This record gives sequence, structure tokens and C-alpha cells, in this order.
Amino acid sequence: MPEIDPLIHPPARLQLMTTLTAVTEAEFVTLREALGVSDSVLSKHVSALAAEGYVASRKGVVDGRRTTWVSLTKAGDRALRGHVAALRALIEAVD
Amino acid sequence: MENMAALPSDPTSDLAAAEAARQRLTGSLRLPSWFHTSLAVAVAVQIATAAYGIAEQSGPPMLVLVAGVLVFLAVAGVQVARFRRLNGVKVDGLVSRAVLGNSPRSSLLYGAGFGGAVWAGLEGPPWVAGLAAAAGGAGYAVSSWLWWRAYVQDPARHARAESWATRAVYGAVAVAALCVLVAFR
Repeated sequence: MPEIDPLIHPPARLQLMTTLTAVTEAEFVTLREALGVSDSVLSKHVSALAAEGYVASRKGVVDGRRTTWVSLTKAGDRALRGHVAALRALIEAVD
Repeated sequence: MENMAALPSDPTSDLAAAEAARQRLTGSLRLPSWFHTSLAVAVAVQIATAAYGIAEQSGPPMLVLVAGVLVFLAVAGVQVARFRRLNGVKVDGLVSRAVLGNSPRSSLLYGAGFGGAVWAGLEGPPWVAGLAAAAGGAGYAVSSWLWWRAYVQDPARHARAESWATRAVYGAVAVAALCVLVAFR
């Protein structure tokens, strides 16, 4: 029985991790625009998820400017699938 | 109480918002200009030069064959870099499936064009080799376009590439096949 993952529970983190399933890596700025959050909010969520090994971030350079690339890890992918399954089970139970 | 605190207030809207965020990202992704056209031309050039290199004897034709491969790799590398710069994302599935053609459909279309061009280079008139190379390039580009359409509709399913081991096997098979063709021409 899948369980709700408290780390992915905040909607912004669920959105962040779901968005990352569409790509291999995304630039911090790209994610910020897709999620419609501020730098500091996104940075906090990325740090929290990275601390648990759900996402990975690394510094890089694009066209001479420094950037941060963020990706979903295998552990994060598994956790996300479990969390989404738990949410769907909850919805079905309510329905 | 902890479990209750962890329960989402509205799981339906949470999931919908997450899906909307993903769609926002994939909906904003754009392919670089001339993406499919440049791939079609690069593959056609690669097939034509390979057919010429295989059909002719040693010397300059072999250099032409290598040059054709380099042209394809250069076009592929430039288009992948442009995609990343344009969108701020990396998508391994795009590189593997749409650009390098690691899909059954791309392989089949490429193989048909390549086989036809090599046959024509050895046995038939040169214009048939050119036609087969052009058809192979066009088929490859169509396959790439179909992959892109499928990716935009279901990004999570198509974003990943196959494993490095699988890609290494594909590469080894392609190089081995080319070596056999050159050796037994």
C-alpha cells in the first residue's frame, strides 16, 4: 500500500518533482518560470529534496553565465511514483 | 496527529496543479529552427557518402565516408546544443531517439535507405543511390518528428533514453555492420 511522502506533500514540491519527470535536467531559471515561484522559494524546496536524495543539483555554465542544473534522481522518481499512487488511492477511497 | 498533518487537503487539485506545471514546461519547449530539415539532410549526406565509400575502392572514398559521419555528428551536436540553450533543459530521449535515431522506426527507415543506397552504389545507377539516401534522410526526420509529437503529449514516458549499455550495443552493432560492408564490398 503506497503511503503519502511528507517530503513531497507540499504542493510546490510535488509540482517541482512532477515537472522534472518531463526532462533529464532543467536549469534553475527554467524551473522557476514553469512553477511560478521566486528564486528563494525554489531554492529552499530544491535544497530540502536534495538533502533527502530526491533531486540532484549541479553548477554549470551556459553561454558564459553560471547556472544550476536540477534533475530528479532514481530515488526521487520512486518516491514520487509512490506518493502519486497514494494520492490516487486516497481520491478513490473518497470517491 | 502526525499522519493527519501529512494528509493532503485536496489531493485532486494537488495532482492537477502538478500536471499543469509539467504541461507548462513542456508546452514552452521549442525545437531549434531547421531541426528536422537539417537532420534529414545530414542523414542523407551520411548515407550517400557511406554508399560511395563502400562501393568505391580504397583511398579518397573512405575519407568521404568518414566525412559523411562527421557531418552528421556535427549537425546533431549543434542541434542538441541549440535545443538546450533555447529551452534551458536537457532531454536524453530527444538526443537518443530523435537525433541519434535509437528507435526501431528510425533504425528501420535508416536501414532501408542505407541498404538501398549501398545496393545502388554497387549495382545500380548513381541517381538511385542518391534517391535512396534522400528517402532515408526524410524517413529519419519523419521518425524524429513523430517522437517529438509523442514526447509533447506524454513527456514523462518519453523523456528518458535507454541505458548506456543499450546505446553502446547499438553503436557497436552499427560500427560492426559498417566494417563488414567495407571488408566484403
